[in-house]
Amino acid sequence: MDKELIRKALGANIVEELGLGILPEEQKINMLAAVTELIGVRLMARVHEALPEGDREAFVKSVEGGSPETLFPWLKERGVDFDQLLLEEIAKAKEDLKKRAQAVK
Amino acid sequence: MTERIPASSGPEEQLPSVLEAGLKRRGIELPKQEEPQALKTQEGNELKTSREIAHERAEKIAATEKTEAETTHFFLRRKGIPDEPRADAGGAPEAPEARPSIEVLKEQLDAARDEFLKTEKEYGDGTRASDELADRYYDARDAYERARAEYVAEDVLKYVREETEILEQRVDAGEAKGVFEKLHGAWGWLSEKNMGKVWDPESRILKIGARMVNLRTAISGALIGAAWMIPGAGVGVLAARQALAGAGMTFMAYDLQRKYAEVKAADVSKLDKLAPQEVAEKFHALAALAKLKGSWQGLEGAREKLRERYERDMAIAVAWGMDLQGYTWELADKEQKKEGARKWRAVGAGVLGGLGLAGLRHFAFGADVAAGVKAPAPGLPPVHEGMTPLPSEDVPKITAAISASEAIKNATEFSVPFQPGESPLHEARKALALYLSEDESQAFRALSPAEKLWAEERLWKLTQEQLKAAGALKDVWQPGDQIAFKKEAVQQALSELQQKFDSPEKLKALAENLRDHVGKVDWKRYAVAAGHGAWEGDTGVRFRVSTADILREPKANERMLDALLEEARRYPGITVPGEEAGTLLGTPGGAGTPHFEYSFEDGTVVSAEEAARLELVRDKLAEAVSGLDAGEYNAIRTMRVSDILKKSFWQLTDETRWPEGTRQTHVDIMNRLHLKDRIKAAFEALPEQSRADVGGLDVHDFIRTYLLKGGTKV
Repeated sequence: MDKELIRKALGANIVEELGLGILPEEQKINMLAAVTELIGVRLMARVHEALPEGDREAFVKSVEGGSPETLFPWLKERGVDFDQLLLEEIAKAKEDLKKRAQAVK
Repeated sequence: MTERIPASSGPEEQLPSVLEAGLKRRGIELPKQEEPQALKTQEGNELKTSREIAHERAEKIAATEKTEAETTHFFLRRKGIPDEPRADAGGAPEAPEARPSIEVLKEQLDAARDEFLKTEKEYGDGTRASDELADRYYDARDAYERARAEYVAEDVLKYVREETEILEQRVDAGEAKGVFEKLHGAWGWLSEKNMGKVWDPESRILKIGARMVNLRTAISGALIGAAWMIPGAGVGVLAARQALAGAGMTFMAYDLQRKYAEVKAADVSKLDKLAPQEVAEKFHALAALAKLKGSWQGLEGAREKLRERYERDMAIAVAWGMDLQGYTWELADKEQKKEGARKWRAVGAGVLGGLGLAGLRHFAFGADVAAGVKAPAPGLPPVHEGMTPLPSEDVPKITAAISASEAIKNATEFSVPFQPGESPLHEARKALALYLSEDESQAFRALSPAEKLWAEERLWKLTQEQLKAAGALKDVWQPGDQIAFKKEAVQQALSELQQKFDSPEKLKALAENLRDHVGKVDWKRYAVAAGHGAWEGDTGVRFRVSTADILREPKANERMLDALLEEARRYPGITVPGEEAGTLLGTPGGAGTPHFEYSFEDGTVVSAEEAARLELVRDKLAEAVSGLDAGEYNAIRTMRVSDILKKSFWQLTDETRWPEGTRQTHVDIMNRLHLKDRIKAAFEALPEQSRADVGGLDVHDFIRTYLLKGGTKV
């Protein structure tokens, strides 16, 4: 796996990168929770898009009533690298937010 | 060709329904916003690009916020969770506070920036500023920093809303309507599943750690740099390094929200009544809180109590092949009664409690334990319903552990080999630890560190005399040499200790006398579990430097410590001990006192005092304590102190402009200003007559000399 991607996704504390350390904890937590939700939904969409068209409906159904034990091997069989997508989405969100914050003087 | 997708219509147009639903499930409520009627006009089925959609959304959001700024501005509100009790409010829950709109925040930011700029001009380099002006300057700076943070935080939420809208439209445009809702439902389902069963790291203890991680936690953790929670083979190195330290580094935004008030209070009074899983969650939530606060200040007591209990639970769960969800003290208690106290002790009920996770790893997975043991253990714990059975390959490990405990119990002497960097006192400490681990009398189980220090010194004296009499005393001990400490000598040393310090006053005096020495010992290294010392899993003695040892400044925060650790990792030829074992010393999962350690793998061993004087170490420390990253530091390291004191935030002239060629973000510049403040404080503490000379030093030499302890005047 791309080390640079790993570094981007996992390497920095977004609270510090955005200069939000001064805020109350609750505000930071709420912000993180909101960003986490966005990343999660984006991740699901990426997985969905990465699947062959014929498997997409099955994916939606499987996550409604399936289990992670079967889901992850199922995705792997279809060439979906879940970890990669996860890291990409985290890195993207971090990068987007950093850029926005850097524009604020 | 630009992809064009149809804009969605209908109820999903409302702000941001799916995100709102997801957050609501987690107890966070987005207040309803009614869009102005004009904005509800349908765009029809015309095709639009993502950019167009984003632009329109941004305009809508801005318009909506502007319209509703006074009453229903978008903000996140926790629901169903009592607000943090406040001392001045008698603990009564507060009504959610309406936050100002982003436009209002922008105005506040502009005003705060203008005030800061004005004050900074008056303040200059600060060397001739009055106290009143200095106060105004720092107040203005703080106000500006806070106003900016408020604005950026709001902007983050705006970004989330915009992106959610765009995603929703994009997904539903390409699929049957409602797919986005289903995907969001899928996320809600998957995000809370425990990843332990699907993430399959090689180490069993990592699996146990993973069982407490769900995807939401992993993502929240990644956002604040807690890397280990991301399941994936590609992050194995990071995971291996941080997972075992994860006891203190884990983060659960969701759990923290739910348990915020409880965690904030750091209430550990009912610890005995909590199930292991609850302890783990509480511990992780507390760690997350500290991470967000940027400090453990005020939480240390709760941390230590939780850590001790957590590590004990983990130890027993590992030993009995259970995960924390399936494990309860009642079950463990039954096992204890069935299997007998001896074997129970052998798997480490009391001993492992103080060992820490590095020791657990050694205990559970140490190669030396497994090696050469073939026979299955008699009387191993039976498998209960709801328990994860021990893999068959672990059975010999338990057997070996019991055998090792027996060996210590029956030993007449303790022969412990020297490891790099150790002196005879280290070996005496090990011998004492081994003896105490199997001391059935329990008389010395509660020895304080000071008492142990006294006893080990006495033990070495006694042994030294014996070796001298036998002609076996050496002047220099090499790694691999062994000293045999007689059990009688250990008992004699302990007996003398008991006689000599037979009152609380004497014990108090002893503790006072040895206070400095006690703090320099990494006691976790001398914990014993299942007949093995934690030292068996490392490469010898490292020197240890606490932040208090390094910095002249009275306050050294956790962030500084993190910087030091990172620096240590990068340093060629120096490794941070514990990396291999997975412990991150100096973090909450490690010892109580913030510290970091270096070890020299090439065999060069130095004392802490010597190491702190090494040029290469001091160079690196100077960079680390600056609080800047390498690029930033290199840009200013050769700058004269008198020049850096003139630098400002706004960089209006060459004189006040920071060096170019590095990033110039707000955060970077604030970090530089903070360093400038520290330099200024140290500079102003100097006698006036020496300031002119010192002002000519470069930044690097100044830090080495005046911010680090032990600096030599240049």
